[in-house]
Amino acid sequence: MNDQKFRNHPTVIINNIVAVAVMLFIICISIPNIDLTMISIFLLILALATGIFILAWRRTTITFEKDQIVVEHNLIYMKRKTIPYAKIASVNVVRNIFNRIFGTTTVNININSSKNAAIPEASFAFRSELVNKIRSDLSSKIFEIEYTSEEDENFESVAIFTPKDVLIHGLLATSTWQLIYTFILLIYSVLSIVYGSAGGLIAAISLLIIGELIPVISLILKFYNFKVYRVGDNIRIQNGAIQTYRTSFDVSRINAIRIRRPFFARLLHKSCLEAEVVGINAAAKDTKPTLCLLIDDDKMEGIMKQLVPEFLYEPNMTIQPKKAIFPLLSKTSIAAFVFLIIMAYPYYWMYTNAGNFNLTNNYAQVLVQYLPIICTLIVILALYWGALISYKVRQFGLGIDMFTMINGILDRETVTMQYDRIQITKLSASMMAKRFNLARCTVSLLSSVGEKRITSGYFYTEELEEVGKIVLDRLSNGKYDYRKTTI
Amino acid sequence: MFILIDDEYKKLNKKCMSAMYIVYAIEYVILFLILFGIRYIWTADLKNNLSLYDIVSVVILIIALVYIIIAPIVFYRRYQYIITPEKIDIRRGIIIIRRTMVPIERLHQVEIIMGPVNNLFKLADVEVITAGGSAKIQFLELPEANRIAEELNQQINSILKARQNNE
Repeated sequence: MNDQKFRNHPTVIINNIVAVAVMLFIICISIPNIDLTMISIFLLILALATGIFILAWRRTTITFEKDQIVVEHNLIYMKRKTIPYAKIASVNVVRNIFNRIFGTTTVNININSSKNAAIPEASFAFRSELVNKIRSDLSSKIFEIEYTSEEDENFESVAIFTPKDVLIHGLLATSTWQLIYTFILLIYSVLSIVYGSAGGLIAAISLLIIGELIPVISLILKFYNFKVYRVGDNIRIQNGAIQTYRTSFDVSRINAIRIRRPFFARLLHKSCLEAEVVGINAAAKDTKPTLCLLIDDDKMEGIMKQLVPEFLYEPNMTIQPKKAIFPLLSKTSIAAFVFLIIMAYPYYWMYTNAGNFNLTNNYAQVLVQYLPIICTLIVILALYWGALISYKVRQFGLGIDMFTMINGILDRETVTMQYDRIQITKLSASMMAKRFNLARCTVSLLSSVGEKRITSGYFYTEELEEVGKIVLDRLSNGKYDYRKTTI
Repeated sequence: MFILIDDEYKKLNKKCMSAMYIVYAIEYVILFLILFGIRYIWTADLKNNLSLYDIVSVVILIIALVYIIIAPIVFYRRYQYIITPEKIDIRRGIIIIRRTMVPIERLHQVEIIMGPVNNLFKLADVEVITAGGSAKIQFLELPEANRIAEELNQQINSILKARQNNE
């Protein structure tokens, strides 16, 4: 395969034309009283787009050279991109409906770069047999592991996920705030039915479908038949019902590991495992690069032992000092005060205009009159409750090669990061925190979709300064090996 | 050869306060126009009695004015930076004090940014970009910004060359 030039499979042109045609069709039907001239213009645009797609297909090539991949593009301007094999973070293969119809597979190649983390560095569609060969070649060049397509069919996942597990993951792995928002919409929909407000009902149901139902169904379809396994230092994941997704990456490409426990999953004693590797699910703009679906908490350590034992260590976790409650409460008090000011006008307006609502029931009138103040009190209480939970939950622990932060109020997460992947460390302290020699530490690292910042709770400044010191010490004493990071 | 070795934290030139005052003044005028515009559209009659909105607007404008007067002085007094062969260390902050540390080894790219106001005072920001985020050394005098950018670029190149030689 060395030095042989490849083009995208020609069906890519049809794929692109159909996408433009659908878009133009939607515009067409949304324009009232569309005439023949407009339709002609749209057809002309479609013809022009077809020409451009054919030209782009002809002038875009990929060459697999001995040490690098070369992507050449020569349409309006000439572009030549070289991707050294040593810089590749992950290789994904995707089979969507189009791919299935035409018997093709799309290969996405990602490198460790925040600039292009959300978009693959190279993306090509080939016949499935050719993709298997390319993937096998890339696997031996990048990960020094022989790969055969039969392995994907026959391998044994480190955990078996039934359709019920996938359903639970689809429902509960989303943010709790999103679930609360869905619940509010549901209540609003029910009230709209009771009081016969058709407009409100349609709006609520539309928001419910767009905001919750579609993401949950797409999650269930995406994680259907989820499998994960490790061969040597290579981790392989495959999932998907309609669109099959396969990815493989070296364990050394993992920038951080996160055990996530959303609120409702916590009630069921379940957690999921995620890995920050450039390119995992980036095509789907997924900010939750899943390594293992929601499983029982007591099984998580076993999964980590099999998949990422490198990230298992005994950190000496520290809880926030008692003094941390002061900056937390002062910050909450400022937020509560600002919210109180914002709510002053709605309260004043509601109090003075409640009589105009012609409410027959006196209780209803009093309720409407005091509704903004009741809501304000609930929000303020929630803010203080959040501050107290945050004080109890947040922890921080330093290890030899990595460190850990535990964060979250409703949705909790334990993030384990390698010092060698930290790009920037930032300490910040408000006036109140500084008074008690406390600060918060924010570390920036490269994530699956670009830059990611993770912030600790309030800890003593000297403890947090250790993170930056260790990063620098590892650079100066030779513990840091740039060849393992490929950044 | 890396010559950027500071043995103590450096402070900014006082001109940074003037640049900040101009930027803040422009932002203050925009804030005033937004508040005034909302009031005008809302009532379309400015002779109306003093409303709650007016009181809140005046309070916001007074707080913003106090902040604008004090912030550049506090910013100038607090801002310090040091560049050593290992790291860039920036200490700054007005209400919240921040300390940013970027290992030189993590640098990918160095950029000099000069906005129109900075241009008036011959000041520039140096932005250092890593694989996962960026940091800025703000309001540097132009020759100093050029010198820092040049030397950091040299350092990045020497690190890359050393790596190539190792391979």
